[in-house]
Amino acid sequence: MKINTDYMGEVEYSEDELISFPEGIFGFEENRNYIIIGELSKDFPFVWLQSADDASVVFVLTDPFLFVEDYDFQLSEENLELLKTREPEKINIYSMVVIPTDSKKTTINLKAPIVVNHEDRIAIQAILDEDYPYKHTIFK
Amino acid sequence: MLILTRKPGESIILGDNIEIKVLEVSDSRVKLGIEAPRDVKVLRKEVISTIEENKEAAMTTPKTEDLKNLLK
Repeated sequence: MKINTDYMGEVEYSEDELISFPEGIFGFEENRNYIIIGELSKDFPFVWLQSADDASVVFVLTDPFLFVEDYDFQLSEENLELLKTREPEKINIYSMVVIPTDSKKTTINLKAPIVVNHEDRIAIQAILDEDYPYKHTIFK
Repeated sequence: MLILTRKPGESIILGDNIEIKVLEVSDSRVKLGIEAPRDVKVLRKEVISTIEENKEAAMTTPKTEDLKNLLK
């Protein structure tokens, strides 16, 4: 399958790369299927979370632990049930990145992480009970 | 901001037809029951904040080059 993106041109993907969000992403509930484009690395710690349903819906994600070493939270029972796993090794945690025009003010959302069960290709956006900010500045 | 003190079992009424009842109070949590007409949206504030944040995140889709420049 193919999707036309404005940041990377045409991207090909296979069905088993799809990640399903049973409840969608808050504010984007009509999109349930996404693909992750790119790979996180130390030199380039970003990936794109691209809707497979709507090419115009895309988010930039990063690994929050690169910026906040002691990031720590407990997922709710409801969320664990949606994710269909409790095994930490099956789970990847991402934060959404907001890059304003003045990119030095780039922030990541620590309050509502994207949690992916990469084995079963299921993901959720959790809203944490823990007191983390929606906007955490990553460049000092 | 109007501040009211309520006990479990007591309510407040908003407008003509919205009732918010305190059901249970524990250490740091309050359980509320809300009765409102179907067309009244009831959302936790965190959900609204998350939606706003997500919309902002979706507005800018930088290319690889832009992201690389960010790291410089």
